Amino acid sequence: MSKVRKGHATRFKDHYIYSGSSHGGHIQSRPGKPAQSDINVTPLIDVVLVLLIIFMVLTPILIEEMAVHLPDKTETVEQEDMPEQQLVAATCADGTYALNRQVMDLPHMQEEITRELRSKSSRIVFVDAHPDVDYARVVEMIDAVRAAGADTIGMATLKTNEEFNACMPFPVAAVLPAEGEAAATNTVPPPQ
Amino acid sequence: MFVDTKRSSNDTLVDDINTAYRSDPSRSLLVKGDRELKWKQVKEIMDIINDGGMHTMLLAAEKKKEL
Repeated sequence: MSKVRKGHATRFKDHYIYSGSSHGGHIQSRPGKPAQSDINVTPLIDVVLVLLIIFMVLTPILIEEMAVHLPDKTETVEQEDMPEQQLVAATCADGTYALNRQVMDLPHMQEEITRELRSKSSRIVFVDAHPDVDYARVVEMIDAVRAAGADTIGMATLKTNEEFNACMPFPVAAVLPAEGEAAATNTVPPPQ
Repeated sequence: MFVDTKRSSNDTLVDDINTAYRSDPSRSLLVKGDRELKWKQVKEIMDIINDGGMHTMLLAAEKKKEL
């Protein structure tokens, strides 16, 4: 009759290792000292991921609410690019000519344009004409403008008879008297 | 109204000019008219051409017939 061999225990740190028994080897902790527990980081990771998803969803919405509406683009001309005084040559209804609303004959107009263009950096002259004037008169004026040295000739838009005023002199501004002063020379002074 | 020697109209003017340009793109556009034409008639044609994309053109009036 063989002896049943009992398992023997081997102490390993605070544990006993049983081996050789019919129950097989197993580890048994020793009571007395509390088990050390590690921080479970899984919930922390879950919280971080949730926050990340929230920010990923909210950020595009916040950006859309911060959209700035800009006004429509309007073309502006830099001040230094604007000509100080444009030259406008015009053919009047009766076939005469005018430069900047001052009536003159064609040779005189050509001389004036030549003189004006000498002091200008941009050699641009605009031409205008009464709608009912003969085409030939307009071509003669354009020839004179070109001969005066204009590099670029701009065409004014066609105007109606009522709108065309390139041959009319500029209106003289009326000077209004200050309060208390005489309004005109023909006023009758009050009797003394 | 003619483009070269082909009769044209206000509605077909731009197309006729483009057709003429296809044969020779280096050509210049000359607007020629009778001396007695009114400026508004010529300006109307120039505006049609301008709206069609052609902004540079030459102007000419028929010369006086010498007696």
